[in-house]
Amino acid sequence: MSDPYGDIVVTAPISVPYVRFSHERSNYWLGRALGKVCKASGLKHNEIDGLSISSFTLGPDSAVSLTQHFGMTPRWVSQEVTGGASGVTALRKAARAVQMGDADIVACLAGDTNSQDGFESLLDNFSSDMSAAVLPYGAGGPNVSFALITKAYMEAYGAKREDFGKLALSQRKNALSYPHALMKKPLGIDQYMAAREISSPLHLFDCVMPCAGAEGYLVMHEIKAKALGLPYVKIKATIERHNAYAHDDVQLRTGLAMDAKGLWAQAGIAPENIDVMQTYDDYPVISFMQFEDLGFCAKGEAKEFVRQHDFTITGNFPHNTSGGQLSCGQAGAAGGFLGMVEAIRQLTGTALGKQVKGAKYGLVSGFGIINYDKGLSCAAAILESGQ
Amino acid sequence: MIKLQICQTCKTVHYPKREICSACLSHDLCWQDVSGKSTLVSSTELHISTKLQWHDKLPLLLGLVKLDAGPKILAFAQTKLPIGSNVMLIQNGQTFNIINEDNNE
Ligand SMILES: [Zn+2]
Repeated sequence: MSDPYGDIVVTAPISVPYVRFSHERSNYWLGRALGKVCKASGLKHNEIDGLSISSFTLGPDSAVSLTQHFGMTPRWVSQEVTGGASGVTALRKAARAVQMGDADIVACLAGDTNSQDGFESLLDNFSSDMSAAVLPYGAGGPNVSFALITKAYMEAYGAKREDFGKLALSQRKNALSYPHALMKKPLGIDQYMAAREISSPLHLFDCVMPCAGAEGYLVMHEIKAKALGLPYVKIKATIERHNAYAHDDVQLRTGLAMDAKGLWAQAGIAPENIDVMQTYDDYPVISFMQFEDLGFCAKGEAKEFVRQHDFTITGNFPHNTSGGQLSCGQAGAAGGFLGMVEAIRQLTGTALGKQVKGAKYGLVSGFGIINYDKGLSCAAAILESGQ
Repeated sequence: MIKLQICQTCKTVHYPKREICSACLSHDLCWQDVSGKSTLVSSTELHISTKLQWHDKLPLLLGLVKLDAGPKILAFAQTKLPIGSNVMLIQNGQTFNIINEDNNE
């Protein structure tokens, strides 16, 4: 077992409570997140010398313009472009920056706004390939692309809508104890199955609700976290991959499959050691692929894995313990941070909702940037409680 | 026949539009005739759209096909076909349609 990140720790997990619609700019949500990591850590914002930003709606501003807006003078700045994988990719870069001395404390923030009319334009301008090759067929955004993926996955491996439903239902159960989840009502299987069709085989409860909000955390040396009296997690291992398996007809696997072996080897633990897992759940099928590609079960066997496990906080495989995006809402790029922030909380015994008892190891995986027919980015991190 | 970009250096066929060939990095791409022969690799029936102009046409039947020539193309379909069906693609301006299906193979 190596110790690739040495004494680098992750701390001060924060969320800016989500709202369905916001007329504020992205700057507002990111700035509130900065204020919250400062409050959580006791640091002043000009004591933070590294800034990492993940946002879809920040343009034409950038992470650099935010330094002026927020009155910071950092010596390291980074902008994540990996969307749903950005919670992990931001961590990877920030950890190396602090480890190598390019910054002492990095604030990793993700946030987006969601105006009544802005969401459609975000969907229409998602990427040049989406605009050219998907939008002319009736709808902007990712629903059609993921419907095609879900359909092909179900045909290839025999997964049923009820299997996807089990994940959605357990996440909703988890969300009921998480104060910031936008979905506040229990979800039953009959309701899940009877929901209106969006793009077959996807129905309403397979899709996330767009909203506004932000998430964040801090990366620093262990000695600094201790001096500040902050509970923290250590980084055991991480992986990242883009545009994997480019020649697959339909995306039935993610790039996580390319690197999972190395992830476990780096961490020196096995899947059965994981106490709490956070997958990127823009659609349930993507969580299924993450279970498979990260080695919790063989390819195509996530349906059995799901049938055999209890994904609620008190179950034998606590998963998306704050409810995931399916129950919290998807605050743009903050959706890529949701699992990371929740994992840090669970592993430091500071869950806002129900706590997974004695959680020592957590796995966070991300998946992002649907571009025409597949999600291009994926990343994963194994974290260990610092207690 | 449909018109797609073909790399003049390595003959790789591209879709959606590219500036650079992803196989050999050549920038010498030309729009040329390609056979519409393809295989259906997935499909969906779209029930909602944020676009008003589609509202009276929903649900829309869509298919993702893999051209024998290489690329994958999302297209309008007329009928529901099983995945794996041999189909033909025709071009209609900026969009594509799946036409005559052939399940004999
Ligand atoms: Zn070429």
